[in-house]
Amino acid sequence: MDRYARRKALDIGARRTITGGGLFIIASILAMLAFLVFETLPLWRGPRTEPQELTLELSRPVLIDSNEYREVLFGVSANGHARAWSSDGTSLIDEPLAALGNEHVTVATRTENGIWWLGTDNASVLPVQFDDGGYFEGSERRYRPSVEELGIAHVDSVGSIVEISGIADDDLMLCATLLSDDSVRILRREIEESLLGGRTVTDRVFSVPLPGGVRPTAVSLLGDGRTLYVGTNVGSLLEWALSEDGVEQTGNYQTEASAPVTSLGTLLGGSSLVVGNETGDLNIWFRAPTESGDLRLIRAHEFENLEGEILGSSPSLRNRSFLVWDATGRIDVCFGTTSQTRARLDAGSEIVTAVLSPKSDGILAVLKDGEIRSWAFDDPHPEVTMKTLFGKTHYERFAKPEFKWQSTGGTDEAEPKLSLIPLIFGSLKGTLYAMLFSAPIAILAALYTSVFMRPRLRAIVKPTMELMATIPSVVLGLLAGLWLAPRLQSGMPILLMTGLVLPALILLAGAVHVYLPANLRQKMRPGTEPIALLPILVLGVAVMLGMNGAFDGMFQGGFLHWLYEEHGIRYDQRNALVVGIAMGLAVIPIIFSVSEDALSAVPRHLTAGSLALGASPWQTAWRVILPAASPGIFSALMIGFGRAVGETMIILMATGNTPILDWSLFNGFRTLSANIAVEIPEAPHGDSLYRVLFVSALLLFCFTLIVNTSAEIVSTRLRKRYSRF
Amino acid sequence: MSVATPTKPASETQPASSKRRPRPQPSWQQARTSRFEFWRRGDAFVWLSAGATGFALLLILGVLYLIAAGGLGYFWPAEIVQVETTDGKTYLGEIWERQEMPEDIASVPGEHRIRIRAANRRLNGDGEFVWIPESQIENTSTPHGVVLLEREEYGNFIGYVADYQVDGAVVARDDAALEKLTERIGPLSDLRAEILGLARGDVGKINDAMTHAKEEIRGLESKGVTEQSPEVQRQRTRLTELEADYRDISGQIDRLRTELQRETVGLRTGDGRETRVAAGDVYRIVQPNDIGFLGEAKVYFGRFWTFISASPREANLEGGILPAIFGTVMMTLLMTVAVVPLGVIAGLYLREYARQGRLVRVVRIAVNNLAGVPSIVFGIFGLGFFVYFAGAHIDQLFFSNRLPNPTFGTGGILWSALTLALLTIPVVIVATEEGLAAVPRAVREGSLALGASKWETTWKVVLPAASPGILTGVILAISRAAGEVAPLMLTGAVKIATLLPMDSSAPFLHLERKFMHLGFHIYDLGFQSPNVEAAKPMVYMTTFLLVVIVVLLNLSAMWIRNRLWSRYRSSSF
Repeated sequence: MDRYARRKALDIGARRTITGGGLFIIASILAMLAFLVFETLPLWRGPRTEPQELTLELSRPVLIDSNEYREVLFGVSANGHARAWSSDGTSLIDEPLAALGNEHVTVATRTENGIWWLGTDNASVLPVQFDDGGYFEGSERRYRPSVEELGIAHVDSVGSIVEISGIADDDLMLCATLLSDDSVRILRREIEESLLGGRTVTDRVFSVPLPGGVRPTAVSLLGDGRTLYVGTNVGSLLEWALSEDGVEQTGNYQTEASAPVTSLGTLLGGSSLVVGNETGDLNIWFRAPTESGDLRLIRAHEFENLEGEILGSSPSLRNRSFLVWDATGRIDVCFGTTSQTRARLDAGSEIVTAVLSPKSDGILAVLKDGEIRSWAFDDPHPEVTMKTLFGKTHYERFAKPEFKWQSTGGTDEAEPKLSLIPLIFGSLKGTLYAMLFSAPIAILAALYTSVFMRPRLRAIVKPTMELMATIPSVVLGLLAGLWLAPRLQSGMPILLMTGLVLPALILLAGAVHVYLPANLRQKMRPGTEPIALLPILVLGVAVMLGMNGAFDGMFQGGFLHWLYEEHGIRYDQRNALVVGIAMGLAVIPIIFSVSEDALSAVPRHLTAGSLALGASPWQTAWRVILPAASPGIFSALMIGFGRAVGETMIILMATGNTPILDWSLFNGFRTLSANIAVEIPEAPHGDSLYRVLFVSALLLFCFTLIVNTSAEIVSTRLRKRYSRF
Repeated sequence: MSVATPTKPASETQPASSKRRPRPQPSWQQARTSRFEFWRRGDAFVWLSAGATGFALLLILGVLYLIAAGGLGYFWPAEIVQVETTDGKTYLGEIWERQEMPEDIASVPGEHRIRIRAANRRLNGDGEFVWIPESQIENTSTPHGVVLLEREEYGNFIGYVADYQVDGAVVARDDAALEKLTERIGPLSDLRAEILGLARGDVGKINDAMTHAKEEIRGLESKGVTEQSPEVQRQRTRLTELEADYRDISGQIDRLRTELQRETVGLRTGDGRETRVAAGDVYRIVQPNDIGFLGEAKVYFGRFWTFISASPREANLEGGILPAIFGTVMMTLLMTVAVVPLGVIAGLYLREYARQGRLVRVVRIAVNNLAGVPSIVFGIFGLGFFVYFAGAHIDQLFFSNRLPNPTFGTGGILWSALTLALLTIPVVIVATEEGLAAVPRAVREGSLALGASKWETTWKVVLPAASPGILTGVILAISRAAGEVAPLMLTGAVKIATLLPMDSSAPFLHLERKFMHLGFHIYDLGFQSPNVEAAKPMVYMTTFLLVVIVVLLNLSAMWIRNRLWSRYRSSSF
């Protein structure tokens, strides 16, 4: 190959490499946005259900359940046989429940710990626990399932149990039953473990006194074991408080419909009551504080009606999902927090019982004819909807729907509260205070530096300010949190005064300067006022600080005490004011630098014309230069705004990071950006919280994109405008 | 327009620009006619805006002063005072601060109290600091002979040296003991270094080899190779050998440790309580009340050297920050390696090779805007994409033996560097473009006219001419990366990293390791530390160091930009 061809090949090669590489790099930068979107997509995907083939022989089943991995299925038949199968239908155990003898099982219910309460036709109840006995053989999971009977008890001498509800903790087991003679009875089993390892079990049975005129149709115990609800044939809900030695009626609530309550159940956490009635109405009720402070049952969520009489419901052990089924063979999967019906299944004929598998990834149902049906169910993010993110949601124990961010609680049963509104609010609040502090200072300083300052001084001031823009925000956050916050707390009143006193001091200095004799006055070179003012400002601040004690004494018990007593304003040490100042410091150099550029770019002939027409320098600056540069100043403000909205470290270090909705200057807040930093260590990959954090990142991304683009467009306009001159 | 203001065209920030377009001396004050027009003519507002400028400067200087004063002062050995109170107690320590008493506990209004850093953490319980109301102070003095010992555990000790024992027998007392200790500190610290070398280096290597052998065995097993096969047996033998080596070395370490513990120092506090400390656990002896200015300066620089050359101890409260400096530098270097070629190629494409049209304009705006996207967004992207997506796939492909323990599927220095590269790439692209745009057209045309191809022109003429501009961008990118913390919190910066991302065990560069970072160190010490008050010296010093690094980087960028400017000005022909 000759030299020319080699050079040509090299040239073409370089062109292709650079074009390809450049396009690839730019595309991958832009693909970042796509990735952020991609990570949030699963949130909006609806649930998937898929029927699964399952053939199990079991005569008249009353309960069906599975282990955590849906690889072992458990069942109990009406004649009291406990069964376990592997998922392909192979029988693993088949043994009679010894304690039952000849009694038949009529109803069964699952508690939150996976223990089942069985009720029989002879008024006895039996808790049973299934264990898959899983172990590893190499890397494969094998099972040796077993079933444990936890001690039978009689609630009455005779009668068939028709409804049952129960809880099972380590030290207390409770079971509420509705018998065929319309009586409601409670079994209370207290278990005491002595230090030596012995166990004492005490069973007590209470009869619940029912008011006359109504017939009980459903029972349910709340998870705390202290409250019992009974649904009646007239559609009311009766409430009893349970204690160690009895029951006491505490409430009687009428539902909207007068149709009989046919199904009562709870949700995970045991504080929401799922109420279904004969006409297919489905609601969630829970207790919430009234204005007077006592708890009352309120109707919080209303779901889509089912077609026929609601026969039962069963909660998920994972989240606030639950199953509910009616007489026509329809099963709805609903989500409590959002009042949403997530999925609808048709089993074809009447359902005896149905259950969500422990990981809520499958649904098992027993039909009236004894057939067992199975569905795979996949609904990873039921708690996230547009409404929970951006709207008010009625959470458990709240009197009304609210904006609330509380991603995790102390326990697994906590209801995640994922409203982004308090965070967006926090971002805006922090930004607003920072801008209120920084914008006037930065723009006035830019105006002075550009128009009035001596060029030689300007050549020092401007780079200094620009250098300031590069100081890492973690440094400003540190100073704000460790140095400023404690000092502000003691120097609060004086700081508020400083805002008035310093400008007055500056004006005074100016006025004094005017009255100075001419020879003295000329000693100060024009355009160096800021330097002359520096000692005055320092002195002013020092004097104010010295007066702080005296000033604080003017208020009864000190300023902060007075603030709280007189106005009910609580002062947090790390608050919006601290952030306003620290973040203001971070954006002052940015706003200053960009607006100074814009002001300096105003054509000289505009200034000259204005001065020639007799306007004073300030009039020229304020009425001619500033308006001409206003698009540039707008763009400076936008850029400062964008920076403040996304700032993380200052917020993280200088606020308490409390997600509250309150404009007060004296308390903290949590922003979208700081929230990501705070929560992401707690968010497992792929979890709802993880994806919601991606939503907030996406919001930040779009927000700054809009702000920066508008700044860009405006400053392009500005350039066009000057090119006319 | 980007948020990173330094990326705007050189001419705008150029101090010399005023020479280029001479600005007449502002004449507004000379033009003033009447004193009574102070308000009407708006001179008052000029003063106000001058005040705002002054205030802004004051704030900035204040921040710089706070950092410098806070950081630089702490290493200077403070005088140790002895305070005797009216209730007969004696306190010995450095005066930490003085403030007005909170109203609810003051006996007289306006009373002040002082806070003394009495050190002696174990003896005084957790209370290293003591508040003393001034009304209770009976007598204050600065006694001679007081020593401050920096020791391995429980922070500093303040008091007197009582005796020096070897194997439990007293060999010296009081001043002689102090002398003996001073003399022994050097040899003992060599011994300590030897132990550390064994524990870090040799034990580390054996551990690595053992982990490797175990992984090999697991890998073979997962391929279905039986326990009896020669490969597995070979690894097993190797493991046994390594275990024997390990026992050897740990025996050696134990012997050295015993050696180190043989010599002990008896100490007496200001109020007469006694304690003992192994002489080998003493790092430095200071007699703040006796050494004079030069001695103090020596201690100051000694402490400063320890600060930048030692590893942290005691939950990062003592010792130095070498791993954090190392981590910051290494992460920044990695980022530079990634960002420079990518940014330059993208800039070259946009300015030299792409057809200038609407699309390129849009891309340019998009790239500029990317510089304004909050860093935490890059952080969460880095976590989701690099750590959970790319990292998890790398683990499955290359490190499946170690699963479920993640190798690259967790935060690490490589992922942090790449995240920051993404964050700073707009800065480099914009700077490259500007550098290229500033190269006069005539230069290119001259090169092309002489028969050079486009690539030859670009490579040999345009790029060299644009290189100062590109370098400026790179330095700005580095300075931004050095100070950024939020994305690192998500992608691999940690409180304490026992292993540096580079060491003597193969493959020398451990890109998957977590690392310490100056900025994160500040956040962690200042806000996550159990003892924030005691952490303050370290926090402020680290802050000072970080600010110095960032400011120096920016100053050098400005300097290069100025040179770049003068070069173009002179090249007009």
